[in-house]
Amino acid sequence: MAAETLLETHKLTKSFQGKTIIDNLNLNIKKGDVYGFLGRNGQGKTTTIRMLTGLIFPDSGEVVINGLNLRGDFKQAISQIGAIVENPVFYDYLSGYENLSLMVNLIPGIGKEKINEVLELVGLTRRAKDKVAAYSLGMKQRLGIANALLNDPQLIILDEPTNGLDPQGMIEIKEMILQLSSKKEITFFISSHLLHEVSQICNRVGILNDGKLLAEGDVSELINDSETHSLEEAFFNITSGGQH
Amino acid sequence: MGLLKNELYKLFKMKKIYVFAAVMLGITFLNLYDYQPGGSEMTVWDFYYGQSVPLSMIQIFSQFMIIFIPIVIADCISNDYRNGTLKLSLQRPIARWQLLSAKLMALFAFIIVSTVLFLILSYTLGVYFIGWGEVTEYLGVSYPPMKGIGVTVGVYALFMLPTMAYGIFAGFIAVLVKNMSTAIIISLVLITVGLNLNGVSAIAPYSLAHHLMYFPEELMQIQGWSGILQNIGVVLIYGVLFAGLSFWLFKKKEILY
Repeated sequence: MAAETLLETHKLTKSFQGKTIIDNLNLNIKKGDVYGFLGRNGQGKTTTIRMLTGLIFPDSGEVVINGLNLRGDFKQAISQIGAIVENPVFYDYLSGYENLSLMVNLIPGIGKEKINEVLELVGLTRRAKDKVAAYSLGMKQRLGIANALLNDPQLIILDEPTNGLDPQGMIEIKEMILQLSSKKEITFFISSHLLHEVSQICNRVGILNDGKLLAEGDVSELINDSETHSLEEAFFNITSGGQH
Repeated sequence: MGLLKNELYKLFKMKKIYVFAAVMLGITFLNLYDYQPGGSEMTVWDFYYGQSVPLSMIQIFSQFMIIFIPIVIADCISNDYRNGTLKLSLQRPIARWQLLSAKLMALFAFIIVSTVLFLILSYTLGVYFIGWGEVTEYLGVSYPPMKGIGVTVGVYALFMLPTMAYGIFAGFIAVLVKNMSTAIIISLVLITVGLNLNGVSAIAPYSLAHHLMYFPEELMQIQGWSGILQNIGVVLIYGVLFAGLSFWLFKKKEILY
């Protein structure tokens, strides 16, 4: 039986100052996926994520989360997801705990005990009372994931989650994603330009180039279909139109 | 309710709020420190009793608010946008109008707290330096102490109306622009231009800058309801107009940071 679709976009299009950044994008993310959204820098990955989270509005097309239209049923649709868009930013004059407390106030039906639970999950309990200004980038990334977990989302959207992290930090984040995916059955949508990293954790990918989705499918299928041996080769083959 | 709680928490965690309170204390202190009622030294003050200090200094309070309000609201809106922290709230199940309402309500709370604080400060310092005295003097009229307190509280309460309208206007500028400093500068430049036009009698009755300086004073002096209602109406129109524009803009605003 085919897995249920959790996130889909239909002909999503967005232009800035007359330039089309996202062009008729049709994404399909199934429940249980760790989906890698691949593309070089400046191809429209963050713009897409901003539309998926309702921060910017498409010129045309729609975003559907678990059967709910993001525009029409915003509150219900957004309740299904957690996200870090671009960088994990917080109020740096407040502690990690205080930042999460602010968010808990905005989520119906959860209490403060949830904060300790998510801090424990991301390994930040010991530093929870420190001001965010004193956090390293890796800690902010973990706090971002804790924030994304607060509402028990079905889907977590991460925008370049390992950007700027040291090798140890990258390993920790990848392990955390895999753990949350397997133990809590959370679906992940991860944008990245780091192909090797994506091939290690994702089961499905979509390849974005010049705002267009060139390919989407299982990692192994894409490698086979493009008659290559790795995701890197498949990516370059697809984005260069088979010239590699 | 959670949104308002958040905005208030963030607001009163800001160090600048306490700097503002210290500035109000310092300037009020300096104004009263050397003041001799009826003395021969050159001064703008002409009151004799400490209980008159809050009313006599209401325009100083007005000037504080003209500067503090754009800073507070620009921090709440433009800075939140620029720092990328606005998206933390916007990714939760709340409507944008609710978030903006909470930010404006937090600003109103700041205005109320500042008003009460200045009243307490100016009464305390007035009594300390000059003594309580026999009457409250305001616009050439003397009120017995109890009535004087009532008039003082009433005047400050009325003054919150144009102050809040100015806050909504500054909030509109903060929604419109992309960073805090630009928002503050635009608000201050526009209100300064407005203050400079206060001398033009054809414009003054319809100018927010005029009402920001003279609203309570005029309400105390105007004879008849039509004049009072006109002044209140003008201030309300500014508030409603800029609130409407702010909500419309904020709903459409694309969050790019």
